[in-house]
Amino acid sequence: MKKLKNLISYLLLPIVTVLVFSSCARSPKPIEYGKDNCAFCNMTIMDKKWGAEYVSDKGKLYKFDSIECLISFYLKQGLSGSVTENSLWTVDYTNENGLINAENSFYLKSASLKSPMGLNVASFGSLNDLKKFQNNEDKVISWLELLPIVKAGW
Amino acid sequence: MTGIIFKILIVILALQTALFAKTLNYTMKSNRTIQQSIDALDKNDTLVLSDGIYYESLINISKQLIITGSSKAIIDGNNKGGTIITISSDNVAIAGITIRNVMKSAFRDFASIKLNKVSNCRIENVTLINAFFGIYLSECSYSNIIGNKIFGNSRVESMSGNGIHLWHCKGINIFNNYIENQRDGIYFEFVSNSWITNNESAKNLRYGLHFMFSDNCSYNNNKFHSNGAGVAVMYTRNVNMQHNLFYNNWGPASYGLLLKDIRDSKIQHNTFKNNTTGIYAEGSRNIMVSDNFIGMNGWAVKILASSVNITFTRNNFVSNSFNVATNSSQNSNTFIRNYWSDYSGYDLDKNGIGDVPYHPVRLFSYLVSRNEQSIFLLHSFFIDLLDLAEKVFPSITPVALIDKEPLMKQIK
Repeated sequence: MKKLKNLISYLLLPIVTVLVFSSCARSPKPIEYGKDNCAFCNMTIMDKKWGAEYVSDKGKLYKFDSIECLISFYLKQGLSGSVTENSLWTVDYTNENGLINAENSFYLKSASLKSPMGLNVASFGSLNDLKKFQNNEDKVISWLELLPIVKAGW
Repeated sequence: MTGIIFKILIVILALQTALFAKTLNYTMKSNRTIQQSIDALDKNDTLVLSDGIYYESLINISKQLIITGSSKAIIDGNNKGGTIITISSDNVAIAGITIRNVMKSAFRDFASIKLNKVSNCRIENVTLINAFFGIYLSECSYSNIIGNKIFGNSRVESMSGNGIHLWHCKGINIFNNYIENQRDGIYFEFVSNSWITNNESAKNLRYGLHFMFSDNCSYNNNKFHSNGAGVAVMYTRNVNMQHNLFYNNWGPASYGLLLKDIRDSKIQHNTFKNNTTGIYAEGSRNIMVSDNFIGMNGWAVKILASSVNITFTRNNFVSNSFNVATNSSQNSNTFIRNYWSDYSGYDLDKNGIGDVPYHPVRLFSYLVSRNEQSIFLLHSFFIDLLDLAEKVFPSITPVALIDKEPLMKQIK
């Protein structure tokens, strides 16, 4: 009887561990293009160059079709106080479905980049990748500089 | 009025060309490319392509020309180069020919025909096959896109383009086109004073018509069906949507018509049939929805609390699983004198108007909008019982959301 109990606990232990830790993990999930809808504008997310995600403290995922929708959601919901590290993500323009930390990304605002919601801001993980798409007058901007631009222009 | 002036202008233009221009017949045997022939022509000339397949792309039309031919005159981009024809001059017309196999790209919006900063152009009766972006107008004005057939083969989202794509345009007339299997059939972003009439847009990956930041436009007499997500009209004022058909748009995020931040618009005489949701409205205000047929949908109408002053009148609501769903217990929209097929009231004074109000929001639809998974209980005995109890003593559903004067007979 005791053996059986031991056996059960040995079997259960890994399962319980997996359950406990998986429910705690707050990581973004890849966007399913053509299936997922934007949590802000409701459009079906289609273009792999664009996209963003917000992972709430409780681990709930919100997916967006563009950076402007993520920021509009962020501003509208007043998230600036409650957002912790690793909860805001954007899709790297050059890397299909590569989600990168939004607060550390480089942003390029350029008329030649046509984002789904018309603000024309793309996100890059590396400055070298960004330079390939940069025209003369285009500015590189940071997350903090981007917030007021979305607030004013959108 | 502008339409008439516009037509007169085109007639004058056509006459001018007929009187002064010469015509060059271009055949397969000519030992120069289409581009070289174009370069050799003068302003107002016509280039007639004879039947055959021409493998060429990156053709640039930078002077006022007419290019015409039968549908058997085929320009084949062979999936190389980039955009097949770029129009960079005013007053260019392309008619009759077929264009196929434009190059696809993840980063560049290559098109079968691209119009760049031009006005008074005309694309007519052209067939596009395997189009990435079909007809792409960037910063154009006063042009006609008429009678074209666009066949895409979009299967993967990232490698798909739009059928007729307008960006920063005004005064564009889109008439009698057929579009299928693109990402969005017709795409409008920052467009004003334009017309979409008599078109059919079907089987597109996402939207039959996608409409953003495009004030003062109208779309009438179109058919939008079997699209991945229906039709989306967003962030716009003054849109007229009349006599259109929205049907067979099924899917968890599929709408006959999705309205987001729409102001001062009209939705009249349309048919919404066999959609998961007929009309969905979010953040919209001052909209007149009248004389529509809304039938055989999962949800006829979903209105989110953020929508204000939407009036529904003289509509026929027939055999929908749910007539109206909302996420609010308040109501700031009006339903009056509609026909509801499941209305069970009576009309003692025989004036055609039911004597007891109709409550279009079922308790269950309110529950479902709060908790989507509970749709599982649809048609269960318990839910029917709940609905009945709520009907007799309304306590949760919005009390103000009623049709005080429901019609007894369907409007014909």
